[in-house]
Amino acid sequence: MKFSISREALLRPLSLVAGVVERRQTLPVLSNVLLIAGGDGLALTGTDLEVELIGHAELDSLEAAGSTTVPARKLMDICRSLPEGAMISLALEEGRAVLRSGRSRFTLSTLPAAEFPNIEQSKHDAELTLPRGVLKRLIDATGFAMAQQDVRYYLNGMLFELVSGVVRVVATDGHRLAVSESSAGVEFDGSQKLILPRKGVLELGRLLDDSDAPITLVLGPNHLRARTGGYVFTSKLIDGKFPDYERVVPKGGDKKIIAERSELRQMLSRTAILSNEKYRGVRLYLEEGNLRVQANNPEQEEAEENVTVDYQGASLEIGFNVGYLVDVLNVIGTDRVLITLSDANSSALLEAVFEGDQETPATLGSKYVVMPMRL
Amino acid sequence: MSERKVDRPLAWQLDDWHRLVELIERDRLPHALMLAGPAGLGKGHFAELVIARLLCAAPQQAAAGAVACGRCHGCSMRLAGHHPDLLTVAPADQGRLIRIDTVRGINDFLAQTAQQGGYRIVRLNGAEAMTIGAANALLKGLEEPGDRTLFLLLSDMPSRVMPTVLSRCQRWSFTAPSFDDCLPWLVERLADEDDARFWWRVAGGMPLAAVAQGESEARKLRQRLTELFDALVRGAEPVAEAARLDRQQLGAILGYGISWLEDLIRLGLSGNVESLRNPDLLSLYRQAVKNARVRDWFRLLDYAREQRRLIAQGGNPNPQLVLEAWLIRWAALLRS
Repeated sequence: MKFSISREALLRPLSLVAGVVERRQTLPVLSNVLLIAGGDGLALTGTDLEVELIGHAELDSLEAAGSTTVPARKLMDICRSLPEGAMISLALEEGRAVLRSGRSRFTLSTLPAAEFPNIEQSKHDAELTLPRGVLKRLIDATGFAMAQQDVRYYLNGMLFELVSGVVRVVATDGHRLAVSESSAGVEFDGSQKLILPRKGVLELGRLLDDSDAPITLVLGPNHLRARTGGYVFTSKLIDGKFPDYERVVPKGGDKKIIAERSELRQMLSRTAILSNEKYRGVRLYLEEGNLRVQANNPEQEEAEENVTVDYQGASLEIGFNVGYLVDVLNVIGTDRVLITLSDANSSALLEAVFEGDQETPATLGSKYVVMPMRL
Repeated sequence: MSERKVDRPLAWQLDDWHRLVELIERDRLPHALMLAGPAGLGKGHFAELVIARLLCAAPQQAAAGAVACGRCHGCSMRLAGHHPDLLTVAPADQGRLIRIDTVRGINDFLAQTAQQGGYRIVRLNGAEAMTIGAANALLKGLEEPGDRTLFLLLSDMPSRVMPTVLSRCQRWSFTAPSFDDCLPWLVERLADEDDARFWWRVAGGMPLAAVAQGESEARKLRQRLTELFDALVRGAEPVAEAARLDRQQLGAILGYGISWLEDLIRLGLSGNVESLRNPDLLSLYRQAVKNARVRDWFRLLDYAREQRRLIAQGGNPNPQLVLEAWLIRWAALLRS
């Protein structure tokens, strides 16, 4: 293997790929990045066995095709500290990678490319294309509700449910649930369900931006692969069955409240200061046209606030974990929010209220379910 | 028991191997196999072969007699010692336990799909070394693993594995092969046929154990112990002798002692020289049999087995005290 490449062309994909390589690795080969030089450029692969990222760089000139693995972080640090615009030539000589640039010369240790645990493309997979921005909004709208290190391992991730033309993502930790769906620009037929692990969701989110550039998701039995802008991201899946989330979404709530989102959020964050630090419980007293929120803590300190809401009906007292409510209000994109309640023991359903020229439910429809607390 | 890295079934395991290949080819492989049988039969080697075969992308391209091609991506990673879809769990050390954290690691491994998209394999060496908590934590995963998952549990003492674990596995029992079956293999590793036959007898018919005991290090220990027992018969001081033994080899020392005790009991009950495992020690035995009753030998055997059980269960006895007590009891019987 021998090629030369400009520092800038190598550095961008390399730093993204090195991002998935973890610093502390039990296996030496995992701290390496796989380099495959060929006619169509240089492919860089980094993995931590759970997620894999392949980057692509244009070569300046290719003298000999080939592949090897070199320590990712060291290669990146070397490239970063070279002067701007430098030309880098990399050659494999007697089992070592020799990097030359100007008057510098670095010799890096290598491990055989065959020992690198990269994922091979499986054949019969379903494919789906959607704009990057849509996927990003879907993940942002629900990612906060994923469980973290729960023994119910199937909750430590995000459910991707694909039915013709619609992508739906669901995350829950057993106390709250977020469902979001979009049909904007989605090209897909058939139906498939898979659970992407938490780490995969976070890493995938880092690759996304608000643009309308397409991203292609390849759905296999063992992997989810995402292709966009020269990068190929692959994650393992969670081998489990996601709970039936439709049953959790409350139906037939008769108490519908419409509130100003930011006002409600700020008020809840303020009262949260004096809630019990562990359980974070607040009491909501609902009356016609008014919502009173009250919190107290073991030190007998107390917070009470009132906010005007659009509500007609019977009064209700209900407790919630204030953190869960604030999380939802943070991600709802509209000015006003619709809260549907039925009684003190039933969960609350929070939805965005779409008005005027803002986003329509077709672009992004989200539902959030928060379980009440007995205070 | 480091077997050379050859992907070929051992001569006396060919039948088991063919049975396994048939299961794989008919896609009838169970999700959990318990490879049970005494140490020194090559269970580990067999497990290695199963792993090699399942993780190889092109087993049909393997060389004649070999089980895996050794060239594909899966084989390269396995030979480099880090296949991402293989998890090997073993006690940290001889006589240590497998604790619940390790088993939780297995459950995390099973929670995610295979990285390479093929089989996920969990190899659990020394299944009897799991604590009760660890075994209980394993049950759920062992009962209903996802698709294309194989548990390989190995145990020298399957009777000590929790019945709830055993009942979730298909049990493959390995028994000592006949001498003829393993003779060529033994001759290849030991000097000649006489040597092979001798060490095969000493090891009680376990071929891998025979080779291990035929190695110079093990020979030295055995020689050392033979001399020690001769000395004991002649009236040496057991405590002083115990101090001179290497405490690290407590398990091996007890092992030899138990084997000799069993010989003594055989000889004492039947007088049959043919069935002895250690024919070279006959003169020592003759002397010992004269001195004590069979009942006393049984008592000593119980003591030794109890000590060995304590070591196996991580009881961590003081080796110095065990050796002293063990030799004092021997000396008392040899001289009474």
